[in-house]
Amino acid sequence: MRLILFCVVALLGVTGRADAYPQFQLSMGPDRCSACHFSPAGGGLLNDYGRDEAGSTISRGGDGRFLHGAWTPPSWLQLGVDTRGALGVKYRKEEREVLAFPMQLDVYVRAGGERISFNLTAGLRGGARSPRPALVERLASREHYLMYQRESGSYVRAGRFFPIHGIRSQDHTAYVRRYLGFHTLEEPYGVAAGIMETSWEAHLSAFVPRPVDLLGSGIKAKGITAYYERRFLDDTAAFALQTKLGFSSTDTRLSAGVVGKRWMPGAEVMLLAELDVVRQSFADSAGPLRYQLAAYAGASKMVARGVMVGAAVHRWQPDLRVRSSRDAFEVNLQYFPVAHLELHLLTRVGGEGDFEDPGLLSLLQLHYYL
Amino acid sequence: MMHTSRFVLVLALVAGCADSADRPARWSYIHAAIIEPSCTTAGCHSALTAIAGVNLSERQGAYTILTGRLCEEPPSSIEAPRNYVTPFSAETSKLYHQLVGENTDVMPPDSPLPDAEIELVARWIDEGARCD
Repeated sequence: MRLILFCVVALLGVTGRADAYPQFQLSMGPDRCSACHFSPAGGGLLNDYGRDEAGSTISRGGDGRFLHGAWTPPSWLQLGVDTRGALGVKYRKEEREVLAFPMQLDVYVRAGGERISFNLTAGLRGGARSPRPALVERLASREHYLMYQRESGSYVRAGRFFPIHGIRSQDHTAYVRRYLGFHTLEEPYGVAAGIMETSWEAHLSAFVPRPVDLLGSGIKAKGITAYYERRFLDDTAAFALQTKLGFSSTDTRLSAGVVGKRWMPGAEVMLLAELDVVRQSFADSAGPLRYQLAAYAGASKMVARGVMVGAAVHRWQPDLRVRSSRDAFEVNLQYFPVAHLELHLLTRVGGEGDFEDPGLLSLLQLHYYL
Repeated sequence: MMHTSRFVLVLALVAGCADSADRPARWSYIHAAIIEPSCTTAGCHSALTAIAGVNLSERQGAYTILTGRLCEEPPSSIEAPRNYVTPFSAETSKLYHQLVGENTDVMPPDSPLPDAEIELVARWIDEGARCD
């Protein structure tokens, strides 16, 4: 047995991030991400309604407010902290690795009023192996943006953030995130605007790479994204169309995709699916045009208050001409014993074709937030 | 609607032309099509994080790190100083062993490359690992 201990200074580091739980949209009542989060994309800091839901609906109890309600910040200031640690094991080719590593330490700050706000997410990025950079060099702000928002939820924002695109799973290794430019720390800079209506929402974003290295990592491309989602069947179903166009010095990628969400009230099962096709052309005639495919389909169910089980499949085909793909199947068990606390057991089997040489990852995450 | 139909038709056609041999085993393609999207994601071998001191984000810099050579230098069969790539010999190249996960941790650790991508990297190494 080999023990790989990923340590960073003070046992803190960021390799993951806390995004929204898209399973809760439609199934728990909210029809959109911004019902529970300050960000129109979901994820990060919870608003008052989201904090109430965390204690009264999703977990088995507790006070979901900041610091468990021990202190209430002034009305112009909202604060939050997200921490995650993970313990896991990987099997592949009869070899086993034991993993233990800190995943996340992020601080959220939102300052301003109901209409205009400044939003900041700052933490420590990972520095898993030597030579490790100094602590100050590891500070990173994944999000910082200025936003104007109307009561309807429609907004304009500028700064660093992920454009609204696809299923915004909390798992940044989901293939539709990992391979489409939404991996951890890949937030670009940009401007975005969105319209929120009763039965639909639309978002348009323009993005560029980070202007200076000091501001962190991020994708290299510049481009635009568009996302349109329409809800129907009494807000138990949603269908979305999306596209993204990105230019970099090495390639141009145009993607088109669909997202489907369906809450089945009878069975109390939430279904989520996404399919994207990417057309990638290379600069300087480096290679032939290729088409790629990324897909996700999952189902989840709250089997008891505070206990959610789920399963999902992932597919990634980097070049449709050669029919070589990565596929993965996963099961998830998430337990929310009290507001602020989550235990998440993810077990994923990944492989190619007939899974002749599969790899298995089982990861137990402890997630605590304030 | 017509655009959509054409898009689907093109997809069907290219999907039917399953042939990996016409993909160039050139570094400019391999870096843009495989290394950059798979290895330089922001938490790994990007310019910012450069895990294990390996920054693969720039094409020429990545070539030097992997082969120990500048792009202008001709390849040789001598083992590279960084020992990631041994030109003309994928079997003895650490990079290849990492991609297939033989006797070492597989890379990328969370989602190994599809076989066809690994085969293309191996072909590039076996053909001399040129910076072309």
